[in-house]
Amino acid sequence: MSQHLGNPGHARASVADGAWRRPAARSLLVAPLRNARELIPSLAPVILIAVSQRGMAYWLLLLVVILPVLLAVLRWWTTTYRVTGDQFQVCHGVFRKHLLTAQLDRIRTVDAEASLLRRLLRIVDLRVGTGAHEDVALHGIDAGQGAELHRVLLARRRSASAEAGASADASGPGGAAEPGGAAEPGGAAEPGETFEPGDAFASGSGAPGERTVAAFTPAWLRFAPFTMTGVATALTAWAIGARIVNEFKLGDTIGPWIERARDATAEFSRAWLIVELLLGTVIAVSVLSLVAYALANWGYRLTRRDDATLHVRRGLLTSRAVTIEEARLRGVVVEQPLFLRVPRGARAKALVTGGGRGDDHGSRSSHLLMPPAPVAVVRDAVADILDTDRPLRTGLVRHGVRASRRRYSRALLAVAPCAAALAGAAWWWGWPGWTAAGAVVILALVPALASIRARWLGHALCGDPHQHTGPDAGYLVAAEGAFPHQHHCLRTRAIIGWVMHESFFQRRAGLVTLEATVATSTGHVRILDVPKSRAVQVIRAATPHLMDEFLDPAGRP
Amino acid sequence: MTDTSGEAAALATVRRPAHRVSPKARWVWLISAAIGWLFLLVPLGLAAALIPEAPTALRAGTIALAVAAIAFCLVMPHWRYRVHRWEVTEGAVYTRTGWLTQTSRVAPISRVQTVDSHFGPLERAFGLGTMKVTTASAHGAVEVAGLPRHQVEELVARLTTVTSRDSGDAT
Repeated sequence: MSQHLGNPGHARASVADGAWRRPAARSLLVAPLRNARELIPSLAPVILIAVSQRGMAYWLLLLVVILPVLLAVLRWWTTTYRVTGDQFQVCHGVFRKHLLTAQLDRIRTVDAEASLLRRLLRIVDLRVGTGAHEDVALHGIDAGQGAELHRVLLARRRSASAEAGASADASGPGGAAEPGGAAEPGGAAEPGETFEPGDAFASGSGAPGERTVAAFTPAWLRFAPFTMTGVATALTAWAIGARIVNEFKLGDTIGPWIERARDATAEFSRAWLIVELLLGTVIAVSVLSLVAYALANWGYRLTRRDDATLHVRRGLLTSRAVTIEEARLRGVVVEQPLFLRVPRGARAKALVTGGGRGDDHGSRSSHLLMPPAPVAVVRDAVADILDTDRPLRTGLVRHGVRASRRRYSRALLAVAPCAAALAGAAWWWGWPGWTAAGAVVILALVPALASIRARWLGHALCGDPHQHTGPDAGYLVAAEGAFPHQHHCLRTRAIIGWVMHESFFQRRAGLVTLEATVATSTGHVRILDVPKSRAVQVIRAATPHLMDEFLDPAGRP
Repeated sequence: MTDTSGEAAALATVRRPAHRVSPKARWVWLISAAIGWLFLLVPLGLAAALIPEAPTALRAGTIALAVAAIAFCLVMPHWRYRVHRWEVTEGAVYTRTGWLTQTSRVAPISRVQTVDSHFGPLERAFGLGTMKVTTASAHGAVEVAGLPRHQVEELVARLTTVTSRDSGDAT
């Protein structure tokens, strides 16, 4: 494998020669595990029968072992792929044959993912996005070949794209072979980690102009406790733990422990106990978030290549490499959950259009650009990616007093039922006094939250709407919310329509909620409670001439 | 931003779309709303009438609900009819829908991906139909319900020829 990486010219010839190839045979060591996971629901009755009947029925359990292995072998045997002149073909299917053919210049993205086991075996799972309805998945490819495939598939796209047409390399075999993997930032990152697919992709790609935009440093771990993942993890762990205790009747076993703990705590005061419990929970949640953050984002690196692609690599045990084509990038969302603001952190997501119908993004969860990181780093990275920091720098237009008032009334409406239920429970059913106090506390939080949400509400327009990309591109900026606070920077070129919602109360206040529809997975970017006349201005400025024929200079609604 | 227009243009507001939908659409809305209410009211009314020991609260509630339903069915279709409007120009499709909450949608013709027509059973009974224009956004479908059937077919034909002229994937 190392000679493949060291000599991309040779490896390239071996991948793009038009011969049919199979996934690596050693992928058979892990594939049965995946198959077993898929098959467990349908095999569950068999397992139940075997366990309940005993005796000879235990032989049925062999099925549970044999079927996944058989399936893995069949799948491995029937899955082949090749790169011919200008096509990428994948043939798969055990009982029904599928032949998928994708034009190389239609391939948008090649994403790679490798769990720890797969990294040890030097194999990767590839996901090739063609802009059609479904991505093509290729499991268990040899890591070196995967890296080559990655480069070859995207190189054709590069040569086909107009932006890269001017660049010197014609992406021919000679051009790619010449630079070698000499000064790759990705390769230098973790010299010890030979099997990391991100590494393999970086050094095997032979892309001369790869530049690191942002890279993980362990100091970022300080943001982990301020994300909500720890809470989610703790709740999951608690639920699973309780389930296990229930299922296996562990109550009798751990009962005495709990008794003893209760006796031991009897002499402490109640307040002290609550403080200790809270402290313990906070510490446990923080540790869990730390672990989750490290698992997902360790070794994170965002790079930008000359061929107009962004590459996001991250992951401690399971490593992921995601490609985002810049021609499909429509903007960026900088998110700041309320608590992440405390250590001055932020995260960023990419707004990326799918191909075809636009609602085909179910397979890909979200386009994470940056994990929780220092807000300055995030802003720098976003400015770098967008070629301008204008959308982040531009002062926001406020939405006025009426919009602020609506934040208060809506916050009150949201929590009133909860507070009323607590107060009612305390009043009628004699719940302890602190439930009533809870209702008061909740109500007291309303003005605080509402004022934050009012202060963080705004929008702006910047740049030239006729410019699609580059430093002068037009941007629609929309900021709102606290959980998380989202700062959308949307290229005006991405706007493919407008929706204006006016509820009964909004009409009375002269406000509208304006939504710019976009072909990304979220479908729209909204400007909340903006004065109606201002909304019209925004539409006219962001999409010139679109609304001109629907305007009424007399000012009649 | 390059807002070359002056103060007067800043005051300009968006006018309503030019055309109303067919007046018969009110019947479609009335009947479909009434059917929805009946699913709720019939079981309640049967329970209130047939069960002798039904609490008075149930009877009173059913009557109140029936009054609300009748008011809804009388008010909603007319209100909706006053709001629902549409317009298709060379450059854009523009609609306004809703009644209590009103929604205006604009989709540039150049970004239209598909043009569908749809004729529900109730709509067919009144000779009406729905035209639906989708863009590449999961959020941006523009729908005009309650148009006369021939108008739907005309519009679909017109829009199909216009959109097929544009190349590119309209994202």
